[in-house]
Parts: sequence; C-alpha cells; structure tokens
Amino acid sequence: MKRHLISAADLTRDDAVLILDTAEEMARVADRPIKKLPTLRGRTVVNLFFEDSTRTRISFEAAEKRLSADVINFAAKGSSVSKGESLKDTAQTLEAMGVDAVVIRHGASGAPYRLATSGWIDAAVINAGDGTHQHPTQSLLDAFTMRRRLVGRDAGIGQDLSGKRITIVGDILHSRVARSNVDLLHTLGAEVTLVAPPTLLPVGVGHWPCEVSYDLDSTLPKSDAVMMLRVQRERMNAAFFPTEREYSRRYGLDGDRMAKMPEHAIVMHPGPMVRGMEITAEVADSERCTAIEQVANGVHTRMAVLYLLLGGNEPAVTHARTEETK
Amino acid sequence: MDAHTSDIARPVLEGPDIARVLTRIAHEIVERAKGADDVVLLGIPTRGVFLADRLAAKLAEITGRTIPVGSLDITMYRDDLRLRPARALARTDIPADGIDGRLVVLVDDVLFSGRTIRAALDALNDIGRPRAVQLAVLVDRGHRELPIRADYVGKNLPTSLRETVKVQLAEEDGRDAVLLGERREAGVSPADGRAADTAPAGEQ
Amino acid sequence: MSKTLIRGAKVLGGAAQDVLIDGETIAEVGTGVEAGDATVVEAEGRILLPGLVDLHTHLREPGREDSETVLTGTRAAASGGYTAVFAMANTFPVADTAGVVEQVWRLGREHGYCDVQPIGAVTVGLEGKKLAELGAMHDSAAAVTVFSDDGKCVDDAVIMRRALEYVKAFGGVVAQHAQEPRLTEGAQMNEGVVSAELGLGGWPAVAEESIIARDVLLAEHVGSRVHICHLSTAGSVAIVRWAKSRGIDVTAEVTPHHLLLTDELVRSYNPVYKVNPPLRTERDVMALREALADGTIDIVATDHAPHPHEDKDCEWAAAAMGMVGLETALSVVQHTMVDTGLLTWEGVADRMSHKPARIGRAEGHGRPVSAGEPANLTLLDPAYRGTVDPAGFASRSRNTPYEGRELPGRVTHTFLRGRATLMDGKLA
Repeated sequence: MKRHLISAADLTRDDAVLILDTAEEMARVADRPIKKLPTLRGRTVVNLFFEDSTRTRISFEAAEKRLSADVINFAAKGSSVSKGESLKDTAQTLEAMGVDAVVIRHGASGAPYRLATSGWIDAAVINAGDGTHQHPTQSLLDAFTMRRRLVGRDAGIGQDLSGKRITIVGDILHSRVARSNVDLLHTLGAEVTLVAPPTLLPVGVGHWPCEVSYDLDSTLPKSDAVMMLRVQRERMNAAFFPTEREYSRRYGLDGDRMAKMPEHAIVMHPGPMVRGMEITAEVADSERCTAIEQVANGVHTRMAVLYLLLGGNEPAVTHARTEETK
Repeated sequence: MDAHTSDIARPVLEGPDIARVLTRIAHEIVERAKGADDVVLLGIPTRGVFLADRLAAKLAEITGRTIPVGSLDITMYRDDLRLRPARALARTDIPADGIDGRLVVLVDDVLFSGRTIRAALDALNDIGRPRAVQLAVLVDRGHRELPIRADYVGKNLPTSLRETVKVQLAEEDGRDAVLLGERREAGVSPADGRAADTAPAGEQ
Repeated sequence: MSKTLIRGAKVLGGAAQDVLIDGETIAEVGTGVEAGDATVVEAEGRILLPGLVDLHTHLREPGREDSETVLTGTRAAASGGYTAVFAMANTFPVADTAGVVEQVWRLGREHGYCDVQPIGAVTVGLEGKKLAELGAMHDSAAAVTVFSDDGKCVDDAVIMRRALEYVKAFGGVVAQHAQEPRLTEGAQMNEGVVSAELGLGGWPAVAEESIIARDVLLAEHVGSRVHICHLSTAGSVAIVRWAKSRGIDVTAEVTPHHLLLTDELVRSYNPVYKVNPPLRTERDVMALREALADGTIDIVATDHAPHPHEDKDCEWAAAAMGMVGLETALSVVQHTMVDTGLLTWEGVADRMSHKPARIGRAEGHGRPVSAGEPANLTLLDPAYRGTVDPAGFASRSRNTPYEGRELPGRVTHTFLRGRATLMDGKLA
C-alpha cells in the first residue's frame, strides 16, 4: 500500500482485499466487552475537518480511539483558518505538535493530494472526502458491506467482488462517493452502472470504467446492489432537473421499483438520506436497505485503514501498482 | 515455504512423534484440570490453531465431551509492531460461551522469547476474565526474554540462537515435522509471515 | 552617440549579416561592416529578430506591487527579448481613466527597459455595465488604442457592440477575453476527461467559442475590428478561420503555454498549472500550433500573469489563475513552432513582433531589420539548452509552469532604441 490514502484509484486489488479482510477482524472487536485495541498507542491522529461532516468525523474518531490513538479534532470553522490561515500553515502547525497522521476533509478537490505531495508535512494523509473528487474510505465501507451481503462474511475473506453488478444512482456529477466507488468497484472486479439524468453526469464520464444509463427501470433487474446517492434540493435551482417530483418519479427508488430488483439485491445509501427525494421511507426502512449497517461498517473499515497505514514502521506490504511518488 | 533452511534442516520430531506428544499433553490437561470441564482451548495463529484443534479432538476422545476451541490473533498486541511494515491480521475466534470463569489453555507451536505469550495475555485481558490461563506448546526452545513458562511442553529442545526451529503441520505445510536448522545469515525472517515468538533476530 | 556592431547574426534566421546600430537607429545592414569605434557583439550562430512585442502583459502596478511592478515587469520583458509590452487594465484601481493609463505609461518611460503601452478597460471597473471613457484614454499621453476587460468577458452583447463601434472613431480595437460567465461558474479547469476524474469544476470549450462566434458576427455587422485574447481551443480556431474567410476583421492571439501544456498536468493538483483560459487537451494544442503556423492565429501573446508565492502554494481551488511568461515565451515558441518545423524565424518575427505591433499600433516597433529603422532588436542563441530556473527570473513572481523543464534557446541581447537593455544575458 502507499503511505497515504488519497484516492480509491491508488489501491490495487490486493490492497483493497487486505483492507476488507482486516476490517472483518476489526468488526469482531466490536462484539467484545472491551472494544479497544492497543495497536496505535502513542500515535497521534488529527481529524482536520474544513467541512462540517459529523458522521464521517465521529466514524474516524471511533476508529482511532478503538485503536488507542491519541485523537485531536480540528474543525476549521471558528478557528484561525476562518481568519485566513492557509491549509499549509494549519497542517504545519499541527505537525509541529507531533501528529503522525492527518485525516482531512476539505471542500476543495485535491486538497488532501496537495497536503500529501507538496512537502509541507511528513505525516500520513488520509482523505476523508475532498470536494467532488474522492472519498476512499466511503467506497471501502461500501465494498465491505457489499462483500458481506453478496458473498458472505466468512466466504468473502480473501475474495473480491468479481461479477457483481452494482448500480449507482443520482447526482454523479457532484459526488465523490460515486467517483471513489467506480474506481474501487472496478478494481475489485464488479460491473458498475451509473444511472442519472444527463445533467448530473460529468462530461468525460464515458472514459470511466463503467456503464452509463439514463433509465433506472431497465437497470434494476440486473443489479445485485443499488446505491442511491443524495440529491440536494439546491440542484433544482441550477436547472439540473425541473422539480423534485419529476426527479423522484424518474430516478427515485420506491417500493414498486425495489420489487423489480432480484430478491438477493440490496439497497445502499451513503447518507444522509433525503427521504421522498431519491428514496422513499418504505425503501429506506426495509430489510434490504443497508444504510445503518454501512455506518457500523464504516468504523471497522476505517480501523483497518488506520491499522494498515500506521500499525507498523511502514504501511502494509502488498504488490504495488505504481511506485509511490515522494 | 522455507527454502532457505530446508536443505540444511533436520527433523527432530516426525509425524508420529507429534501425534504422541499431543496425546500426552491432552492427558496432562485432563489430569491437571480435573476432567477439563471448563477448559477452553485457544490456538495462536497460524500453527497454534491447528494444534488446538488437534488437542480438542483428543480431549473429546478422552472425556467424551466437546471442548470449546478457538483462535486468538495477537498481532495487534505485539510489542514489535513498529519494527516492521503493518502485518495482515489472522482470525480471532472466541467460542460462543466466552472465556469468563473458564480455564483457558493457550496453544502455540514454539515457545521462544515469551513475547507472543505476553501479547496473548494482554489480548485475553480485553476479551474476558478467565479463571486461570495455562500454556501448551509443541516445542520449548529456551532463550526466554520474559518470566513466562509453559504448563505443557511437547518437547524441550535446547538450541543456540544460531539455530532455527521450524514446525510443519499437515494442515498448512502438507506434512508434520519439527525441523532444526542453522540460520544462514543474520536477519533472515521466517517465511510464514507471523514470525511467531520473536527473538532478537526474529527467528524461531 | 554610442555605436554597436552586431557581427555575423542570422537576420530573421537568414544569412549571416552585420548590423550596425548608431544611436537610436539601425545605420547599416550588410556584410563586412567596419566596426570603427563601435562596441562589437560577436553573434555567430545567433538569430537577430526585431524587438518582441507582447500584446498581453499583466504588470500589476498599481495595486498589486507584491506580485509585479512596472519596473520588475519591464526588466522581465527585456530579459525575454521584448521591447514593447501592452499592460492589461485589471489593476487596482482599474485602468479605466486617462489618469491611471498615463501613470502606467510614464512609469514605463522612466524605467527605460521596455516601452509600456497601457491597455484601457472597456467598461468602468471591468464590470461590464458602463463604457469607460475610451476616447479620453486614447487622447491622453498614453494614446491608448487597445481596450480590454481581460480577466473578465464583456459578456453583454449590447455593451460589446457599442464598444466595437465606438473605438472605430480613433482606430482602436477591443481585445475580448472570451468566456461566457454563466457557463464557467465555479470553473477550475478544462471540462473533459480529466476534470471528470479530478472532480474540479469544468470550463467548457464552448464557453469560449460561443463568445468568439458572437463577437466576430458583431464585428462584421458593425464593420469593426476585434481582437481575441488567448484563444485556447480547436473550436475557436475553426471559428476564427471561418470569420477570416468571410473577410471579418478579426485577429487572435495564443499564449506560449497553450502551445505546449495540456490539462493532464492538472492531475498533480499543483496550482502552478491553474490559468484562465485553462490548459486544454493535446488535440487543442495541436490545432493552435497549426493555426499559428497558417496565420489563422495572428500572434503569440504571453498573458504574463505574476502572482505571489502564497497565492499558488495552496490547494487548487484557493489558488490564483495565471502564469508568468515573458522570460520563457521565445523558448517555448522555438520549442513548439520552430524546432518542430512549423514556423521559420521570419515567421516568429511576424507573430511576435510585426503583427502584435500592428494590431496595437505600437509606433517604432515590429519594424524590418534594415537601415534607418529604430534599433529595437532581439538577439538569441537558438542552440542553447537549459532548464528553467525561476530563481533567476527578473520578474518579481515565480509562478512558471516550466520550472525544471528543459527548453531551447536563450535571449542574449535586447536593444531598445539602440540601447542594450539586456547584454550577454544580463540586464542593464
């Protein structure tokens, strides 16, 4: 594995499978009376959040604490950053305090990449979501959830997602979750189909390793998992689609549509859900919806990433796709 | 899987010997645990798990009861994590009834520095509170670095630090044997990835 | 009166000749010219061009003297072989009055490294709403003839039409920064395969092309001339080619960076590659080279845009757009156009001196290298090979996309009206 986790595209198949396997072991810790491991004792991790994201931040924090890391939470709002301090200065200030890893959430695409490659700091950088670019740990927890549900908890160990058909529906254009999932699921051998109105697909999507469709109904029967992305109401005002009603009629998942999916197929959502927009309450609350499970799996997966990046004197060794760039 | 030692390693225990010492250890456990009513066997991956399974089968033969058996991965409790790249984890599988109030017998292939067992005791501490903890090993090769000793030993094998001890089990290696070899060069680590009971050079 | 003899230079890349400068003018061009008491510059193997003219420079003064001043900017220009630069209007305050343009013009005169011809804003405060006093700027000492809201597009079709019409009265030209604003809201880079992957807001080619199409039609309708700044796409080339074939009075410029760099570089998220219009694709780069070679694109202009370090040493979205270019322009043009066989040195003289001077009506610049002409000259060594080191720049800013890149050619001497502003690679 590389020293940083910036993009799901940086992971080889072996890296990804190792992370998922490790996450399964981490999941077992959650069943124990003492949900804690001493592994990262004496290591300091800072959660550097330039964007509000309570769910991602507490997921990372839970993972870090379960591994006994010392955790510093840094929310940029109300800090010196909002007074004009730069990303570089903030990161260097934190590193001067002896930080071993920076978990960064930033509104600007590429900010974690800059942090990792500009020579500003030496700490490992873990991308917790940057702009509309990448959210690699989200795609890992999604893949983990899929593998458990579609391959099996024990049967899945050592396995990828070969041949699984995954459909991702919604605002692909603005979604870092979609980008990360397309990269990772492709690496893991799954067949990905993106479904969205043409306005919410980026120009250039034709070069992604996936299929693209404008029609949800014809895709559902061929899906092992359907991932619904949040669609922000504000997009309506920018003319990405005419009305909320029309959007949900064409691209929302309701009970009737869910019935078109194969029996074993699951419904996924990275949250937060906009009920009545991309998903109805009936679907969101059904047995087939893994939204809550995904949250729990997020902690296991992030523990696995933190352990594999920080648990030794260097990241876990798997075969490298490309040489690490210094 | 350990080409660098196989040509110069000689077997000190063969398949039948290993079967015999495991039978003896099983009897000793029954005797010392007064029927082994509350025994839980926890093997330390990789080969300790196979040994624990074999012991459980022998205990079942002797007592006529099913003995709970599981595995305990100690990777995340190791004291030398920072000396090497992050390692892949092995399975921790605690029997359904847990270990609280039970007699836990830890099972490993080779006892060397004692650091693995120290880590195992720490791991147990996070899982429950056994009545007592005992240790069964196939081979004790000496050179302890911590005040730890085994309760059940298959074979005491006095070694020099220049020597390597390699346990092979049919489940993993295709055959049963304990091999004693010479280390070719300093710093060569065993090929099994776990590098069990780490001594100064990381050899068994 | 001081005399300089440039001995054995290939004038416009042709046969070796001697050029004698006497005072402010070229006294003699020929072979075996007697040196007499003149300072001799041995120029065997070097190329002698008319002094370069840049129709698109940001000197930043007044207002952003932390990134460039008229002094540092004109020193950078002299280093790059320029004898005249046109200074863009987006200063603080904006160059939208006679007072501001005269100030910039005077500063250029005082420093003496390079003639500075201010460009006036088309609209007050570059806001695109109300015409600035174009006539007053033209009538000032600065005699402004080029008007541009560069950095912003004159997107209102009526304002653009009026500006095109109004400047006809004094032979002015409007230089349009073609960028449809609604199509480029939140734009961070070229919209395409790379932007889709990087999750950076797209700047679609059509946002440039639609404005160019509109403006050439407006120019045709009102019978005005229009100049297109930093044309960057293959589609824009096609539109300009079509317009010229119809006889529309349009001229267009391309920057050195758009002749060489592509949006693939943005994968590094290094803001040194952030520029407006953005770096495009390989296909666009090739179309631009071809268009510059066949004359569809008239000139090379640097869009020299200095920015302080902190405005580039940050995340992509927070970074300023722009690149410095004066000191590397000729090398990039040699690399992309001359060394590839697309353009002769005579062609370079045309695209980087004659034509920009003619578009901007720069008196005394872009003249032939012959006796009696003003001695505005650039001497370069085309055999030189070196890597770009911004530490050696005369510009106050270092935001070059070429750092560490090997580029051919080096300007050794620049003469402004007979005086060496650059001598053996050193500024006077």
